[in-house]
Amino acid sequence: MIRSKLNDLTGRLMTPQSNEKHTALFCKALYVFLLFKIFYLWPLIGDVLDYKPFGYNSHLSYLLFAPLVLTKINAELFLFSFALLLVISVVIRVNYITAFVVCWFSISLSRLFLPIINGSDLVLNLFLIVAIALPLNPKLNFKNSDQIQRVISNVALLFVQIQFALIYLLSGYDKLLSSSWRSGAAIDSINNLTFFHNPFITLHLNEITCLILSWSVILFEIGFGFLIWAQKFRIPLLTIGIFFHLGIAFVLGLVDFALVMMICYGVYLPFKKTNYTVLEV
Amino acid sequence: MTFSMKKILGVVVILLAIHVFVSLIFIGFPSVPANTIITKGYKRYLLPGPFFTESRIADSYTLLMSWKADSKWSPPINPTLDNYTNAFSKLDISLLFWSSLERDMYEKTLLKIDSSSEASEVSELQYLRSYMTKKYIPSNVDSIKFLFVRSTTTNFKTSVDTVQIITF
Repeated sequence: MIRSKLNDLTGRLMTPQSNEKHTALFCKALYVFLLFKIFYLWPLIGDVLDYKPFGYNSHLSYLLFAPLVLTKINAELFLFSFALLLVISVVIRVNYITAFVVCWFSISLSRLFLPIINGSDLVLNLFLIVAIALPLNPKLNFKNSDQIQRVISNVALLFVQIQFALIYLLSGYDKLLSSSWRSGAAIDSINNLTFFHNPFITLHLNEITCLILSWSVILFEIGFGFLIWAQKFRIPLLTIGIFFHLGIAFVLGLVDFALVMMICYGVYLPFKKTNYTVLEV
Repeated sequence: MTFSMKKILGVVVILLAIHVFVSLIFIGFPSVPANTIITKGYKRYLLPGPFFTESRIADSYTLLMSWKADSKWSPPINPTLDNYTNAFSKLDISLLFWSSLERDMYEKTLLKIDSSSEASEVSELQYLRSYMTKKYIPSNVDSIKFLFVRSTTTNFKTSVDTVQIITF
C-alpha cells in the first residue's frame, strides 16, 4: 500500500502541471510585498544602523549577508539596489537568477533590520529560499532538461505547501497545549496588549466570547494543517483564513504578518492539469 | 519515465516523508531543546513559530518620559505609543516600524537593568537616553525621568506595575 502511494505521488510530481502562472504569481506577490516593506522601512535605516550597526563577524556572515557590503558605501544604496532588483523581478519573467538574488537580499534585509523583524520575515525568507526552485526559466540545455525543471518545480511547490501546513499545525498545537488558550484567557490578554491592538477598535469581550474565539483559532489552525489536503475543504479554509488574517491586520495591526500569510495561500490555489499524464524522462 | 528518474523521485518523496515525520516530532514535543544543528535548523528556520504564545501575550511594557525645566516636571509622554497610534490614524506603516524599533530599545534596556547591579552603567540605558533626548525631549532640560511600566493580563485580570523609575 505504501509502495502504491509512493508511486502515485512520484507519478504526480512527474506530471507536467500547468502551475507556471501560479508560481509566478506567488513569487511576484512576495516581491511586491518586499518592495512595499522596503518603502516603509526606508526612513528607519539611519536609526537602525545607529542602534545595531551591522558587522561581519564570521566567514559565514560574509557569504550570507554579502549584499550588505553596499551599506558600507551607503546604507540607502543597499535599499535602492534591492528595490530596483525587485522592480525588475516583477516586470520580467520569474527565473532562477532573480529568485536567488532576491532571496539573498531579503535575508540580508532581515539581518539589517534585526531589531524589528517578526515571524512574517522568517516565513517570508523560508518561502523565498524554496521559491528559487519554483521557476522554469531560464530553460536549461541538456537532455530532458524541460521535464527535469518541471519536476524540480513540482517538488518545490509541494514542499512549500507542506511547510505552510506544518506552520499552522505548530501554532495550533502550541495553543492547544496552553491553558490560557484553552480557557479563552489568551484572547483577553491579546485584547489588552498595548502594542498589538488597533487603538481605534475597542472590543469588549466577555469570557464566553473569548472562549469561542480562542477555540475557533485553535481548531482553524490545527484543521488547516490536515484539511487543506482535501480538495473539498481547500477553498472554505482559504476563505476563512483570509478573514482570519484580515482580522489580525486590522485589529492587531500586524499588517506584514497578515499579508505574507495571505500571499502564501496562493500555493494552494488549484491549477489545471495538462491533458497528457506522465512524462517520459 | 526512466527507471533512474523514478528512483530519484522516490528518494525525494521518502525524504519529504522523513521531513514531515521529524517536523511532527518537533511540533508534538516542543520541549526538545534547540541545541544541535538539526534541532536548531528545524525550530528556528524550517518551522517558524509558534505565534502568539502564552508567554508573549501576557505582558506589555511602556516607557513614559518626563523632564524637568524651570523647576517643573512636564506631563509624561509616551512617543512609542504615539507612533503606534499615529500609524493607524495616518495609515503610515513606517510608524509601526518606528514603534517596534523603540520598543525593542527600551525592552532590551529593561532586561539589562534587571540583570545589572548599577542601572546607570548599563550602556543600553545610555543609548536609550541619547536617542530619546535627540528625538523627543527638548534641549536644555535639568533632569529627565524614565518610567518603565508593565501591564499584565492573565486569567481575565489586568494589573499595572511601575517596574523601574530612573532619573538622570
